[in-house]
Amino acid sequence: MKLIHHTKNYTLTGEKKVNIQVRDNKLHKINNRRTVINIEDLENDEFLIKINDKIHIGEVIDLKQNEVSVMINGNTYDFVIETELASKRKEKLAKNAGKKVSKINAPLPGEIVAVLMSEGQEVHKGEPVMILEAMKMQNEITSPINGKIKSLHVKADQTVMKDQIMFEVDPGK
Amino acid sequence: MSRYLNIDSINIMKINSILIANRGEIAIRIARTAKQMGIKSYMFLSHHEPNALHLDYADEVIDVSDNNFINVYTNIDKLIETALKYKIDAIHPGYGFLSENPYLPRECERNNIIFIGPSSKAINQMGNKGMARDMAIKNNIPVLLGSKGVINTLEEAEETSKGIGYPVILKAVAGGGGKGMRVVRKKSELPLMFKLATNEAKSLFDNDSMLIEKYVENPRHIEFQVMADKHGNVIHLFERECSIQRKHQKLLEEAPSAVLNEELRQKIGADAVKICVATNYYSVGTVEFLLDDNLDHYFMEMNTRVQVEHPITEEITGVDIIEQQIKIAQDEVLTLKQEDIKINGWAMELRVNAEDVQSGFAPSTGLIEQMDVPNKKYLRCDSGYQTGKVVISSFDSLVAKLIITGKTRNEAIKNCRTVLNSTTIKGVKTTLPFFKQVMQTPSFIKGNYTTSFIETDLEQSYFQEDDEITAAAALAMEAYLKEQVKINYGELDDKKVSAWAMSKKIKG
Repeated sequence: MKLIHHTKNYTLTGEKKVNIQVRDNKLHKINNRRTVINIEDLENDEFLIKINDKIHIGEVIDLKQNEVSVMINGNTYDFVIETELASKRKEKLAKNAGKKVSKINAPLPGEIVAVLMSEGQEVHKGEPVMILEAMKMQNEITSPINGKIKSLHVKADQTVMKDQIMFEVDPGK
Repeated sequence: MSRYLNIDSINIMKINSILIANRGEIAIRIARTAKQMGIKSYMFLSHHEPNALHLDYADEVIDVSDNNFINVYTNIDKLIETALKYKIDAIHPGYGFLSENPYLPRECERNNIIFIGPSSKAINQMGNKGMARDMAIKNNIPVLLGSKGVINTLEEAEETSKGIGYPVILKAVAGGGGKGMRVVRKKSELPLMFKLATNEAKSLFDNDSMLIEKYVENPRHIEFQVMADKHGNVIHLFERECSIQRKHQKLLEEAPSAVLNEELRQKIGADAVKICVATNYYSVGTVEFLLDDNLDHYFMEMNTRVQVEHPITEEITGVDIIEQQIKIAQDEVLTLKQEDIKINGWAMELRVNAEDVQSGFAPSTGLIEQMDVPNKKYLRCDSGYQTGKVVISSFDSLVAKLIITGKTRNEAIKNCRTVLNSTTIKGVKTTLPFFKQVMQTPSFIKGNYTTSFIETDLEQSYFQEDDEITAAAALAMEAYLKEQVKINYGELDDKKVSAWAMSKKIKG
């Protein structure tokens, strides 16, 4: 009988942080609570996940190093998987270094119809910075953080490619 | 070619062929009725979508893919040239594109082609919100407090808004489909909103004139389907409730409306008919009204085309709206009388758009890796896509319309839930999780909702099962651990990559 268990704690960072303890290569605790999880491979790229007697059907969409994207019930979740220690260390470092400048890229190709802010202007999280028109829709491109507009890389009437950098926001101190 | 049959004094021009100047689900929808009527349909193969599904439904496909510089659906010259070259009797514009452009019917008339829609004059008059408003006032149909005539400068806009009192709404006079509209809550917002609205109007409708109206907070959006022939007969086919909107874009419509009683229905319906009579309107159309808290109705605008949400009216009345539209275009007398039109059951339309509801309804493009829609007798699916087709950014994001019926409203909702639970679309993100959330939101279930439903009643914009994030994390962890084991045991093989993941990787 095996008495010594091999346990390891991981942190999955996505929309929310989820802590998972792995014991002997099996999921043991989720968010510090013993959880009975059953994951069954349905062969057709899908998995049946039984958790607390509730069944979910999910699919692994992408797995690149420690970045995993899964889809459940039509919703997509992206996680970065690290050991709990590495995750904590990173969090601490980030705190010490101050927040990083946010770079905002075009989510899809289109045309900039209006730039609503100028460089140096203060911006709040969720506030629209520019309007990108694509698929016959005007999409507000908002700031993901509070801060100041560090630089604007595009101007009105300009066509942008997907992932082209549009502006940077400096969170300041 | 003899198209003219002389029956009594009425010239009936029988349509034998139609050029469908549209794409996607509406092109397929029009072709379906054309086929039933023994009419040959023509569609375009454009360079944007060489494998488009609608091409499978055309009797004849006209290849214009070698011309990369034009959007054929908005090119009047190309449409006329094509109709003449192939000797096609009529042009059906569908919705969007040229459907409310008065120059298309005018050019059709000049070239002896039948336009399946209203007259050029009617589009001009009713498609222009300013003129339509004046027409409503002249006929004693209630309208909201608003600007007299059109607004072209910011100064005029400031003055008018001050007179009406904030909040106000800016509307492109030539607008439609919720485009070119902006709500302004205070004076300081006006310059930007005016710029955005005029910009949008200029690029979409080539006309940046504005109309300013008092903005009603939390109204209901109710529209009436109308039908009028060229001989003075006008009827309505009851209402559609379209209050579930996001940024003036309709997402879900139902017919009938849960808030109208029979008296109100007759009253608003009579106003819808009145405006058609006053303008000598013919063809099918939609008259839009706002309903305030007191259930007072105000005329908003008229759409002089067949609408995206026309199927729910077809489902409750049993009338094929496209068929009537074609018959009216070939000068037939409307055989349907107002008393023949009855409401039978309830219908809802869920617009499945390629949008990511988890990140603010951002458009999502790409290959549809899987699309499974169940087969139910209470479900009609009008779609221009199937597994293997590609959603591109050049056109609107509508992937499918799920039109679901029931004997009662409750039964329709129940059926919606069943359909949502067995519909799968992979490859592009869709509004399906949004509808799941709607179907369990109390105000929707009770039928007591307004246009602010999404901002105020909806807890979050997509449905999430209990423990869903935990399940997602568990699956991600498991997948990661398996990969680790494979690496440790040197079993890492050429991993099968799904087409979807691959397309994401290629695009970067």
